Parts: sequence; C-alpha cells; structure tokens
Amino acid sequence: MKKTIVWMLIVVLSLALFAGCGQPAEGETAAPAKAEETKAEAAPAEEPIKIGVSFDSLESQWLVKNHAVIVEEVEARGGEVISVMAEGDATKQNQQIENLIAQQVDAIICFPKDSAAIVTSIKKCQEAGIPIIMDNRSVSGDVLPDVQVVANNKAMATKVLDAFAEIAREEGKTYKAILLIGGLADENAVYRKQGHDEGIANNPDVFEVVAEVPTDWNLDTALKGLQNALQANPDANLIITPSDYLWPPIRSSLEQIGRWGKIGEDNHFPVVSFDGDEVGMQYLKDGYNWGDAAQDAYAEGEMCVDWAYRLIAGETPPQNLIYDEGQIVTIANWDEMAPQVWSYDLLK
Amino acid sequence: MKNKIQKYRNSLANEFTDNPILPIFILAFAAACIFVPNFVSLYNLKNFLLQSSDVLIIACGITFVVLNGGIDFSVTSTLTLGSVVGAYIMAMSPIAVYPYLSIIVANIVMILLGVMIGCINGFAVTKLKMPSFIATLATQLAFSGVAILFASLVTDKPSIAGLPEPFFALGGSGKFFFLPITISVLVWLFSFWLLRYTNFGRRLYAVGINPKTAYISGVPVKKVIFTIMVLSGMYAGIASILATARNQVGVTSLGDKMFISIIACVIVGGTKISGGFGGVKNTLFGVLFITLLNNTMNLLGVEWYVIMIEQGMLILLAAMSGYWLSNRQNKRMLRAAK
Repeated sequence: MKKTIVWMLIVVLSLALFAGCGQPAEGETAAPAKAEETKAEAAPAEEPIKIGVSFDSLESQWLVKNHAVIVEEVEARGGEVISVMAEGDATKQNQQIENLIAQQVDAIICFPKDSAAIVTSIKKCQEAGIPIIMDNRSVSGDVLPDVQVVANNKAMATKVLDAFAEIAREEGKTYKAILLIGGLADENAVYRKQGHDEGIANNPDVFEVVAEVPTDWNLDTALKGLQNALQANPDANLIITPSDYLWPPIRSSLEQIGRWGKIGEDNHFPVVSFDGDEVGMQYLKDGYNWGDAAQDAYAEGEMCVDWAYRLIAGETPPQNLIYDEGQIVTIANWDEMAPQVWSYDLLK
Repeated sequence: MKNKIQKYRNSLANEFTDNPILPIFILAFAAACIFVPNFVSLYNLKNFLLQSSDVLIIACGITFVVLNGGIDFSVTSTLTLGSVVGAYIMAMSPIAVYPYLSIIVANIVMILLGVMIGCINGFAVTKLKMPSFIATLATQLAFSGVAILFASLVTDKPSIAGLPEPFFALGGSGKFFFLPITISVLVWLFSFWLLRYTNFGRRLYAVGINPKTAYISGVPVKKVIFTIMVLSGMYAGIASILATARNQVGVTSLGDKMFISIIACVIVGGTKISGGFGGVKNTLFGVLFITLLNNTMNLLGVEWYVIMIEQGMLILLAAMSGYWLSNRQNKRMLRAAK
C-alpha cells in the first residue's frame, strides 16, 4: 500500500517537473554559459542587464551606503539588480551565488564574508562565463575574480596612526592604547590590524599597546571586551578601532567610566578610527574622535558597477586590484580633508 | 471498489499525518516548477540537491537526539573544528605533500573528532546527568573556541586554503556533483534502517516516549542516549567533510549560522521536540522543504529580509499544520475507539 502511495507521489512530482519545463535542458550539467550567440538571438528589444549583488551583511553604515550606491548606479544605467544577503554565513553566500548563476545574471558584485571560502564561487562564475567583482574585501591566491575594488586597508591604518603620532609629538604626549581587532575571517580586519601594528611600530615613542580586544565584528563582544580592558588597564588613554561600526560599544564603555568628553575637557578619552562613516565623522567634527581613515563608499560602489559593465562589454582591466586610497582625516586637517569624505554631507 | 478507495484515502491521510510537511513540499515544488523562472534547469536542480546534502546528514544526526527529547547544539562546533583540523592536515601538515594520504587521514580525523565530541556529550548527559541542552551548549562554546585557537596557531589568515584538488570531489566539484548527494542518501538510508528495522531504533523511540517506562521494561536507557550522542557527533563530522570540500577551505565560521536552519528542518519535518515521534523520513522532507524555500526565494529575487520573514511564517505554519493534523488523527482514533 505504501509502495503505491510512494509511486503516486513520484508521478505527481514528475508531472510537475514536466509541466514546469519551459527551458530545454539539452543534457547540460555545467553552469549555464553566457554565449554571444544567445545574446544575438534574443528579442529585438534589449533586455536590461542583470547584476547580481551578493553581500555578507549590511551591519554597518558604510555597507548600507555602498550597497545603496551600487543599486542606484545600476538602475541609473537601466539595469536590474538582484540582491542577496548572506547574513554572515560563508556557506550561504556560496549557495546564493550559485542561485544567481542559475538566474543567468550578467555580472556579480560580491562583498565576501570569507575571502578564502568565496574562491569556490569565483571558480563557478568563471566556468559560467559571468564576470565577478569583489567589493571592498579582496581575495588572494591563484584563483582571482575579474576585478577587485578595495580600500588600501593596511596603508590607511598605518597613515592614520602616523598622523595621530605627529599631533601627539607636538603636544609632547604618549599613549597607552587599547587596540580593537575586527573579525579575523575578514581580510579587511587582518590588514587593518597589520596596518595598526605597523603604525605602532613606526612610533614607539608615542604608542604602547596595553590590551588587544578581539571583537569578531560583534558589538556585544566588543562592549564586554572593552569594558574588561578598561577595567584591567585604568591608565589606558587611547582606543584604536578598526571600524566606525564599533563606536556604540566604545561610547558606552567610556560613558560607564565617566570618560566620554570632548577634546579639551578633563574627561576626554582619545579615539582613532577607520571607515569614515557618518558616526565616526560626526564624532570627529564634535571633538570626541581624533582621526578617521575614510574609505569611500561611493567611489568603491561606483567603480564596482563601472567595471561590471566594462567587463560585460568585454574589456580587460589593467590590473586586478583597484585601490581606493581613501582619505586620512584628523582634527589637524579637518577643514581640508573632511569635505572629500562621502559622509560629509550627512553631518549635522 | 468503495472500500479500496477508502483504504487509499486513509493511507494517504496517514502518510500526510505522519509527514505533515510532505503535502506542502509537493505543492511548493510543483508551484516552483511552474512559476519560478530558472528553477527547472539541471544546473539549479543539481544545486538544490547539493545544498541539501550536508544539511541532511547533520539533520539526521540531530533527529536521533530530538527523538529522545534532547537537543545537540555542539554540531556546529564539530563542523567548525573538523573543517580547520582537516584543512590543516591536507594543506599544512607534514603529510600534506601526499594528497591522497592526507585526504584519507583528514577524513578519518574529522569523523573521529565528531565521535569524540559526541562521546563527551554522551558522558555528560548519562554519567553527569546534565540536561542535553546544557551539556551540548557547553561543548559547543568550548569547541568553537578550540577551533579558533587551533586556526590562530597554524595560520595568520582567516581561513586555511590550499587544500588538494581531489578533495573537492567530495563537495561535488565538476563532474563529481553526484558524490555528496550519494553520500547523504547513503547516510539517510542507514539512519532509516537503524530507526525502522533494528532493536536500537525501537529502544530509541521507547526512551523518547517515556524513559522511566523504557527503563522498567529493560531498555538500557543510558546506553541508548550515549549512542545517539555519538551518532550525532559522527554525522556532524561527516557533514564537515562535505561542507569543507564544497567551500574548498577550512574556515572557523563554517557552522556559525547553520543551527537554526538545521533544527528548523527537523521540526518542520514533523519530529516532535518532546521526543518519541517522527524520524529521518520526516527530516528528509523538512530538509527538502527548507532548501526549496531558500532556493526559490533567491531565484525570485525576493529581498533578503522578506525571505527571513517568510521563512519564519512558513516554519510556524508547517509546525501548526503538523500539530493540527496530529490532533485530528488523535480525535479520529478516539472516535473509532468509542
């Protein structure tokens, strides 16, 4: 009896399969290739170009703006965006990119969760003939995407500390620093840590690291770690953060110990940050922040879209890595550099 | 003739009651075939099956534990630890220069790690009498930390790459797409046989329904519980092999976000969280349904936050329909008894 029911179910499923078969399969098991002939045979009216956008998450303001810029830019060019979010799961991101390939998008812009795990998706895109562009997080190794638009994280992290050290020397001050570290699955976090380490090593007369706090890009983890570090090192007098995303736990921790004050106030606690988003720049303007290495959300998003269209048109990029050198904004050069940062117009 | 039709109807009703997600899955699959562009392509169907394969293996392992009225949070840390240790063996250890040897050793080690974690869980639950919720949460936290520590000791990069190419076949790379699907089907068949046709399976259900009665009846309750914990760990070890091969790296964040999806597959499939009812057949349909949901929503270009809302609503609906069908069946039985 159960066998019969099972067979009935198989028949129903098969019927559904045949009913839905609008596309001739032709025995293919490889990814659907993007042949020039197929494009030539398309309907006379040009189909809009479809860009797949695969993001790890939208957990920071920078990512929100960057994603919005990509969507606006594609739509302004008459294209269509298919956006997927991995919610911090590398496996899910790979699965979502497989689904984008199945949808036969014309190009994929990817902000990867894990720079090594994304390689399998890069290979699948290459097999399918779909250009893939890395946005803000780079991939290294033998298998590379078509183009990578990235901030020069290490150099920018070093430069912002070098700039802060110059100000510190003029004032004759030295600093015991708490160094926050981002998620170690993120190459950006790794390069920023390397840059911060280099900046600290370049200026041994100014900096001494008293604590390192791994945050895993998690606000709760950052808050607990920072509170513990401040408790264990009451003489600490500088926080170095790899992202403006971590300002909420920084502010919360400093308020808790009564050290949330502006430059010049007795309870001021210096902070040096990275990203250049609205929060970090506002705090820099208001006097809570000393320096911010700003990566350009607009420029990187626009460059990704620009290169997506150019790759679809068959152009070859002059190099694989296209750097956004960013801007180093400090209290010393605010008037000159701040207006160049993407979030400047959002400041109050 | 009327009797035969009535028998068919009853059998179908029983099948749908035992597997409440089945009619929903059939309808959803049919709808996807008809309405979702690009769903019915060999490439997408291949992806659909590949994406189900490692989830099915872990979900089968957790099903054993849930049938006993327990839970196993540590499967995600088993995935992670297995991934980084296995990747280290294949890419960075002294035997990495012998690709096939390193693959065999790594696979064995990854499974043994799962067995080891399962043994620790089993010991904690049976000898130390800890609830499985607490014991497996503790091992999940501990071994996640061990995985990150191990990775930080062997590399300064966020993940361990450079695995040998032949290993990727286990993830379905290239023409070996059938391999992980076959492995997951074999694991599922073994689990089905274990639950349906062995003494162990009968004892597991007995312990799940009422452990005290089972004990009085002579069922070795502690042995059963210890075994299911080991099985759950071992299955997670096997899934770690497939997931690592699919991602082609050892990564410390491998299992991070998977637990909710896995437990959703088990519950949506119809296995009761209180234990004693359900099985791997239910879990199979649960896995297929959840994977179908994710696949079709992505193909339809649905916004990611809408997908999350819809997933939650559909999981609730599926669980409610299972409860309603089960209640209806119980009322029918009571009426028939009267």
